[in-house]
Amino acid sequence: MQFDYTKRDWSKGVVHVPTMPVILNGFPLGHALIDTGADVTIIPMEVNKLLGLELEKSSTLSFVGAGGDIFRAVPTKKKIEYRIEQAGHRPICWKGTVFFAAGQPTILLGNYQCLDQLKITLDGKNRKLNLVKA
Amino acid sequence: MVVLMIFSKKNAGKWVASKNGKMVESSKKLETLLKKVEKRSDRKDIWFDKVPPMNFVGGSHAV
Repeated sequence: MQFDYTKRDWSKGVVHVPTMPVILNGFPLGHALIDTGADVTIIPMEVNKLLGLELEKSSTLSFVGAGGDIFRAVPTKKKIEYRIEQAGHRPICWKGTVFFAAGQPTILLGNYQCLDQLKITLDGKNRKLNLVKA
Repeated sequence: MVVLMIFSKKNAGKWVASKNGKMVESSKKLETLLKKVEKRSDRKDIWFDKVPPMNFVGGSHAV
């Protein structure tokens, strides 16, 4: 599969970042960021109000973001389904634990049980990413 | 009609609903956004995003 990078405003104009559409337990997220610097996938808590997944509160972890801010995120009790679809390709599906955090600014796909399931090639010059199941 | 780019500075901090890569609705709350789009005939073609603040940097590790 191949996906175009996503155009995003920032202070010096526009930047193009690697994202892909992901369906999480049936909920369609249009541009989840490929965050190779993230240990885990982190989703805004509001999404779990919709999905109603059971969370393992006793396994809540503290995370530190790129700027040094510390925040807490709660994992799902069970693995949830990731699904990536594109016309002309067989869907790529797998299951993994995700974390939910209140105030999470965007949808980040991290390494644990997510990016470590995939082979992703980032072509920044052409603003495209290529994806196969690992 | 000008269609706003999904990850534009105007959408920073908001949830956005889009179809075919173009924004159709936005809201500060996901629940409100879902209500805005629930009766659309093309609801099955709608995708959702949360737009981060301007100058966003990802990456996070457990401590």
